[in-house]
Amino acid sequence: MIGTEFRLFLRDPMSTLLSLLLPVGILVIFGIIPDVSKPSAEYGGHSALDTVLPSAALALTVGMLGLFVLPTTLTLYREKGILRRLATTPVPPSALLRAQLVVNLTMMLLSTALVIGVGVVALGMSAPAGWAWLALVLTLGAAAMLAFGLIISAVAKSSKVATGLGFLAYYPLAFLAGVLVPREQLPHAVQVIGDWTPLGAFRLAVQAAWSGDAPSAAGLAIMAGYTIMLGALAARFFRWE
Amino acid sequence: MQNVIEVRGLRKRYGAQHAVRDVTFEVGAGEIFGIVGPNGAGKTTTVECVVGLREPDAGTVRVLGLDRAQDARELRERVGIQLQSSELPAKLTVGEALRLYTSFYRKPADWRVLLTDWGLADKERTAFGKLSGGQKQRLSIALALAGTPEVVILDELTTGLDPQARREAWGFVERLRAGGVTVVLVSHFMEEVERLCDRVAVISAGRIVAVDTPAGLVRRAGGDQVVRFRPTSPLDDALLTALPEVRSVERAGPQVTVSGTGNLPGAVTAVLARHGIVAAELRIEQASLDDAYATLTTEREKS
Repeated sequence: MIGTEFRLFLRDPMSTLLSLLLPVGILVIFGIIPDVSKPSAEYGGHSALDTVLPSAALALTVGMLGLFVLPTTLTLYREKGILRRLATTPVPPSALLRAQLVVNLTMMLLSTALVIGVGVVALGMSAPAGWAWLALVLTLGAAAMLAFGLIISAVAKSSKVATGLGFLAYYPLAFLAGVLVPREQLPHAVQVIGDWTPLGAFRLAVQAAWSGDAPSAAGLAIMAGYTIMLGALAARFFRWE
Repeated sequence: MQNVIEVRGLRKRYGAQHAVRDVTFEVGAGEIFGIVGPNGAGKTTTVECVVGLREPDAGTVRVLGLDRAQDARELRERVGIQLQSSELPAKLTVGEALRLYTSFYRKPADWRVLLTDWGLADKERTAFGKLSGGQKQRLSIALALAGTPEVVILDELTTGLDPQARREAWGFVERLRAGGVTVVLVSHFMEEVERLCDRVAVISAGRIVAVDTPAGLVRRAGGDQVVRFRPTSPLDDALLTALPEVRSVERAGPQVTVSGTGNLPGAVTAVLARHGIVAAELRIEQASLDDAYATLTTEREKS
């Protein structure tokens, strides 16, 4: 079932584009600007290429997959009676949900690998210094955004509504995380709010891990908190038909 | 005959509306059992309760002797269902769907056999979204058979199919029975039910109004038989009205129309023969299941 879901994912040009090509594309477009590889006081002596750019690309990845691809697919499966059809077989529909989570998580990892690979090889980006931290941060961030996607799937009545809600959630979250406008150019109050959002916390933590620092405990706790809270709500309200 | 499905006093309500009020029937092993009724009569709700997709408000349902709550998994292993309006992901191919669904079961059918059996061999690599209505329907039946079920429930099997595809589907259902599978067929085509079903339950407004063989339903609805002919020599109506089978005799020009019940054609032709009258242009018309269905379902609505 996981294999089938993978094939279906890759057959959909939209989800592949959003999750695999867009993040690395953004990285490349901004990465070829000469200034980004110069160390800057603004980023604590690191270059933008080693801090804000990869973290923005990864935030884009987990945001797109969690907020668009997962909820749109799940609500479509519900709308078309696929979950209901599955409920009449010995395999419960929750297996499909699990397969979807595995697929989206794997795509997040693949996209991360692509961002690191292309960044390091083609753009001269430094490889992340804190691999273990990065793995932990990625796991927590992915979990938080997938939980967000599940709650969208739970409340959306149709896949069109799910896509709409995905947009509605994505833009403010991406803005607050400093993906649309660099965080450092946002007013201080907005920065503080942003740091409390799952995507904002994720981005800061990725940035820290990349330069080899320990991410702030508060940031990790924020991501874990969102995962638990949204996950529990989704489990409560998700409907199979 | 051993009962494969037993439904007793089934009730299901959605809000204030009673979808199913008090439904009781049983289906024997190897039978093709029809469930017919107008739209919204409770047919689909009934089968959804039978397969465990819905929780009945009252009543008991046993399928293959299993309890739908306690043995849910076992039930799903052994009962195949083709649902009305359920789709597959548009980009899933026919072959992938069959492989996936057969992988769900303990006793899987050979997906390649299903593929050829249901005339989909040349569609193995075709995506679900690109299939025609008839092909989708055939795939949906093939998927219902993925676990070599003992009971198959087909909900609106032929709705949306053209007459040619419909006849094909009927052939498939007959093949299922030949393979010893018990079939429950939800339908609103009387022709289909008459052709396929051993017994039929007529549901109207959430209640069963009759369970019988198709011929039995026709009889039960008081369906008259009609014999029409043109006598070659003068005929006294009294000869006919004296017969216990005859209810009325009408004449239109040279043509005589006799209505009645029982073995009407036999009685009429016997009396004509005894009086040396030849019946030209003899035609016998039997009330159809369509008529019986109309009578049974409207009677219930009136009462």
